[in-house]
Amino acid sequence: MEGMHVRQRRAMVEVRQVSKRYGTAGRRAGGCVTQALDRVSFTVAEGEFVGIMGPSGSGKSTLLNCLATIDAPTSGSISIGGVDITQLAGKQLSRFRRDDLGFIFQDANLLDTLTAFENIALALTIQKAPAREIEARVTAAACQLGIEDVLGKYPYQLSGGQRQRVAAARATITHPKLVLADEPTGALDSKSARQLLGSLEVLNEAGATIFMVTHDATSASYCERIILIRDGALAGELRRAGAPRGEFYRRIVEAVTGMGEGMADAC
Amino acid sequence: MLARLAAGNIRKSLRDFGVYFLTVVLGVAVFYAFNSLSQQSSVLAMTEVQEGIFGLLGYVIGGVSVFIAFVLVFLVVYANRFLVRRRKREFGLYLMLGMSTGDVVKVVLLESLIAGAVSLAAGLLLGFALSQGLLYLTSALFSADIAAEGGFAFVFSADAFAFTLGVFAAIFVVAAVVNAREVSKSRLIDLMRADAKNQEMKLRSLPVSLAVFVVSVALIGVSYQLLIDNGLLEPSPQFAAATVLVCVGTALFFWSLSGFLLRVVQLAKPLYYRGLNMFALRQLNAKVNTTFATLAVVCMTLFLALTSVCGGIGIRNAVEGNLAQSTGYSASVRTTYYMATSGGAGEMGPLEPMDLGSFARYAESVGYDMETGLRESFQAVGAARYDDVVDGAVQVDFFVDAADPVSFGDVEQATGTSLAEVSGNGALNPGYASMPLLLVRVSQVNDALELAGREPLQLGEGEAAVVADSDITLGFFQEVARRAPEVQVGGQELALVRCADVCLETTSFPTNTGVLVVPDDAIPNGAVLTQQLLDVQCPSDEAERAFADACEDVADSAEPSTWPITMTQSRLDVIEQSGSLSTIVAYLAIYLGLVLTIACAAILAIQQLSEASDNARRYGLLRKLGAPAGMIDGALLVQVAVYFVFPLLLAVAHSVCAMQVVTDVVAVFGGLDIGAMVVMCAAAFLVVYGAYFLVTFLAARRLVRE
Repeated sequence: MEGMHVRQRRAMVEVRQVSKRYGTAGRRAGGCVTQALDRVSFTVAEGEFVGIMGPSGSGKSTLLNCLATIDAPTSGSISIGGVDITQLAGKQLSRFRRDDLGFIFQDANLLDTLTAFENIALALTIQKAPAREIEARVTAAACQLGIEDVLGKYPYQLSGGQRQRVAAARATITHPKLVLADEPTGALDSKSARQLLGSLEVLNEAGATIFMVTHDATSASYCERIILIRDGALAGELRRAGAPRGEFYRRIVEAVTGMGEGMADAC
Repeated sequence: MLARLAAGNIRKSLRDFGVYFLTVVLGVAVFYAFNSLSQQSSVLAMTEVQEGIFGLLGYVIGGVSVFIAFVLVFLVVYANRFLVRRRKREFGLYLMLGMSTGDVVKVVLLESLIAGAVSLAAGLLLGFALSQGLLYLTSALFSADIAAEGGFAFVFSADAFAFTLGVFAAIFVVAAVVNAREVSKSRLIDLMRADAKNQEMKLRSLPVSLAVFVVSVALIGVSYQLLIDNGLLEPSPQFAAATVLVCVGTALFFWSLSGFLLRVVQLAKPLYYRGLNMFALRQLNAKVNTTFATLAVVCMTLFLALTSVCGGIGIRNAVEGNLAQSTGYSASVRTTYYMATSGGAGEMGPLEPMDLGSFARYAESVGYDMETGLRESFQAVGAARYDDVVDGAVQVDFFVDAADPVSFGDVEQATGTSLAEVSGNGALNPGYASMPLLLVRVSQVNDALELAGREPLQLGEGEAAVVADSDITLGFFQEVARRAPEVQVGGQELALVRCADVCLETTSFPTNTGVLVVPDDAIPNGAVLTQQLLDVQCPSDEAERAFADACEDVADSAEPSTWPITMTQSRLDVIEQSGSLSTIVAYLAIYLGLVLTIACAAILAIQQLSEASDNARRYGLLRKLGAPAGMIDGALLVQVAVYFVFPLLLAVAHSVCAMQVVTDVVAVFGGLDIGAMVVMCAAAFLVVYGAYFLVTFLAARRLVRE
């Protein structure tokens, strides 16, 4: 039933045959090429919370960068919300990032000169949202994530978890088509990490499509679906399919351990 | 190995800190070029007067250069500190890799010295070119041709070269030592975390920001008022207070400016929440603690630069304007027989005879008629024929009635005023009160005035007038004439009813502190002829030169039957002299103004660039959040503009106020005329400043886009 439900939803992200090669294939370089991504294809449905896992050097970050339009694939296409983002350039590109993408980074990446409120509002002012809407929208987003009490503080006055929730609020306040989270719990203690993941669940339930890179099984267990990647290629997929988180967590640990062994074999 | 590392580091930072190198190169070039000015006299065909003036110019510029050297020390040390701070992580890495602190210090020292040597060499080369340019400028200003064949000469001043080399070597050593200390003091952990450290931002509350801002503006206003009310003709407590207040006010202004701007814009939500305004204002405010002092110093320095340029050129124009007054005749010949001296206790001192020897007897033999005397003397020395070179001449005789002189003290007593008080001048000879006023016949004065094409004095029966051209006593005599006192001249009671501000001769420096013009018959019989003046008009410049040359021949001649000439000044001489003088002033003003403007612009540029590179990550984040390039450039422009424009605006305001006062000072030389030249100079400096602004913005944009 759950699987049927997922298939019925519209595809928000479509990744088709994406490859990314680094290095120069020229004569002098002697074909010193790294194949970071090798014909990767998958889709993410609207409103889905997808995690991507893989060992270091597997190509997770490259994939995320391609989705974030920070990097461009060597071949293949990526469309988000029906727009082929590999074809965007210049103003279209910055408009796309501004309106359709939200970012949550490992280290919250807040501007230390702005208050929490202003950090969240920044995403709106860049969109040139009307000034009279801004306060209400920021306050509403903050309430959703339980950070309404710290809006007047500066990043250095906040805990790591609070900072990440501010970043999450900033990433989602513009209602982007896709929220990209790059190891958002990487720098947090377990309690803060749980709070943040709970926040992401809340945002997901409110309609946000979230694509999260992680290597932490606990974080991954909050997702609906996990895409496994190794050596630049897809290595499998895990669906939670309504299972309790504990059970999903065990399946993830198993799968990842298997991948790790595979890595060991390869060496 | 260390040297290679150091050289490599410099190559890397060359791109980022081109502004620093540019500034040092410009500094060296200007320093050398202006210090080599005096050497120009060796290749320019100058007159004796011009050479003397140029010697003075070299001397004055040498003195000013000491001040300039201090400015440059500050500039170089400041820029170096920024360079080193920015690279703390890199130094930390060296330490991590196992280099000793001593080695890192050596690298820093080597870097500073290599950078210094390279920019010094480049600066000197540019300085040679610049001094060559100044040579042609001087040649044009002084109408002096380059003496060498073909009109080309390479001017090289070994003194200026050695001076520049010495000063800048010292500057770079100081900078290197400061750098090395900075590095050796810091601990590894601080170096590695230099980036990550967050400046604690304590926002001042709105009332505090507002209050400080208002106080700063009030302080500046009060100091303006003090300055305008009291002037700066003499050092006074009010002047000192105004100086202190304006400095404190300026510092507070910049301390509160960013907070004030932030809070004011925050009140206007639609403006605050538009694009990156919020970000730009917060950026400005975050740095205020480290930058307000710099901004205040830059503002005051710009103020100094503006005032010196405007004042210098103003003086030049005033001197030029004065010329019409003091060059009424083609030439004036003066003969002095006796010097009046001041005695003690209000009594006039004895008349000291000048040692004129047999020449005095000759003057007596022709009945003290200067025209006859000179006509015969010209013939005696074989110079030009007197009547060929002179169109018209008027003789003025100056007398002292030694038995019953009219002294300054008598005039003071008769009117109840005091020269010392009215003029407020402390430079007066303490015994001035006993000095006699020389007596002159009104008919001679009126003839002289007529010869210069001026209005004659209207004196009625029993009236006397004072003629003066020195600003020291003019005010006093004008006051005296208003009170119209009676003075005793040779037993006759005369009413002193007029004071005329006219120059009775052609002279470089009008120094007539006052002569008493009396009816012809009022000169007492026993009066002593102390001085004679002959004003002549010549038909042409050639005739004027011939006349002056002939007078010089007569003065030098040993022939006993020639006229005793004490001094001859021709209009051409005077124009040349004052032209040279005002050129000195203009050169000095431009030198100071140029160096100070470059220094200010460079400080701002370096600071903005280093800030931009510190903030590169923040701008990267804005890009990730989807801020378009134009919006980010706009935010950057606002920041750079605030740093460049506000100090300039405040400096202009200070200058406008100071110029009100400087006008009074310049009035000593004649009326201040801020002419086209000031506008042109100001425009030129604004171009330099604007160029730095543009270069800074473009370089900063490149840094944040990386």
